[in-house]
Amino acid sequence: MNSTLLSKTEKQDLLTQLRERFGIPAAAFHNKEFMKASKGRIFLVSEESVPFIDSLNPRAAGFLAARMHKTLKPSTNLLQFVGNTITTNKIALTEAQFQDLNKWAETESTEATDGYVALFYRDICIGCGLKKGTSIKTMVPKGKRIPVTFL
Amino acid sequence: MTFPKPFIERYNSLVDDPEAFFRALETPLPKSFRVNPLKGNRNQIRTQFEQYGFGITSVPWYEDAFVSDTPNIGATIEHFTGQIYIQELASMLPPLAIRNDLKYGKLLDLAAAPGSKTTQAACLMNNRGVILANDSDYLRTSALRFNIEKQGVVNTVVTNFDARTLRLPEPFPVVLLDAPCSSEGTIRKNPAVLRQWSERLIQTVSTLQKQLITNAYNLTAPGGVLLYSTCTFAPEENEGVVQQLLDTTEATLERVRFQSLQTSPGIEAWRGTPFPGLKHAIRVWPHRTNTDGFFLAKIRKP
Repeated sequence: MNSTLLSKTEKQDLLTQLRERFGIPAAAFHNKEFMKASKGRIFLVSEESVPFIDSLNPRAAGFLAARMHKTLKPSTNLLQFVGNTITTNKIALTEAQFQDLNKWAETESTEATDGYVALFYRDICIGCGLKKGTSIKTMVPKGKRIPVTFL
Repeated sequence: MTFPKPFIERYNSLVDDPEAFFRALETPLPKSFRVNPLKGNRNQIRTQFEQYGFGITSVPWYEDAFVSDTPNIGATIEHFTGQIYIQELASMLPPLAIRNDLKYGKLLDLAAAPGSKTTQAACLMNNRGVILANDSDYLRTSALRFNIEKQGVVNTVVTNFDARTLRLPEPFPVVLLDAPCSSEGTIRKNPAVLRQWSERLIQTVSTLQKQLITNAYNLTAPGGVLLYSTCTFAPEENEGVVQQLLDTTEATLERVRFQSLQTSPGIEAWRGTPFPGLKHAIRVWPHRTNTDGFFLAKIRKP
């Protein structure tokens, strides 16, 4: 994993996007750093991890927090991690909507604006979705989508 | 369940109550899990599970651990989102044995995959500091990465080095070696272990473990702690490995206690080989604790 710390400007830009889109405050990332790797990947790590990442060329560090291309795509891990700080563009799913998404089907909602959204069931953030019009697609990776019968 | 004859002979002579021991090995394990405080709230999850109709029992020696009367905890939204981690109770012991030492904020986990103890240690460190989580098996580091991500752990750096020869720029104050072993202690959840069991396997794994513990000790800082553990009963993989380290270095063993958990001290000898320094090690027997079998030794480097 070849990675470098986000520059001050890049970090500020990332935090601004997360605040504007989801209402996530910068304080949610206190004592943490963002590292950028290939293919626009951005990892969230503890600040004490950084010297080890620089010196050991590890396979991975922390978790994949986002991908930055033309727009910022937050990962399911990131939205779950700071779920209790998300205030905007969050969609509260019914049980039927959750099950639809979990089977990789689309569902519909009039909440939130187009773009990446945070999906919630009860007060639990289940991950990232993509809203276009009234259609929502889950961005939760297939490997994380396990059958859920108790919710 | 059919036990190999040498297995029966070996443990008839080692265990305090062989009949209860073999009966326990044939009894299914209770389903246990721990709450991941990085993502979930212990009381809320307990309440929610009770609303699902699950019978949930607290574990007296670990506030985040629970036993469930249903096997369905893997089908909950709490598991889906990483708020809980399904883990056998005895396997939660190694991070707890070094809980106070984790305050130093640096842990080297030499055989980390698939990550149950790594992610538990991250919880005990409140996601601060750094855990160097190494595993020599490249494929198993994928499972390790998956679990780290799912649990929301940010303080872990995953490497893929041979732990027998690993060199680091500086030693660590806390090192965990949950060594690869013959896994006899996991027979209750994985009876297939018995099909691969042999005295030769024990000897082969023991040789590897001695190489691993030697380098683990080299990677431990002066004044630091090395926690050696296995999920097996074989003295050659437990007391025999630690005794060799004590015989060849200045290392000492520290006593570990778990309140309300019935453990036994390490054994004093096996097949003519004495283990004079091992009384402070801990053995966890399935027929005493209704868990998997486990061995722990907390080693201090002067």
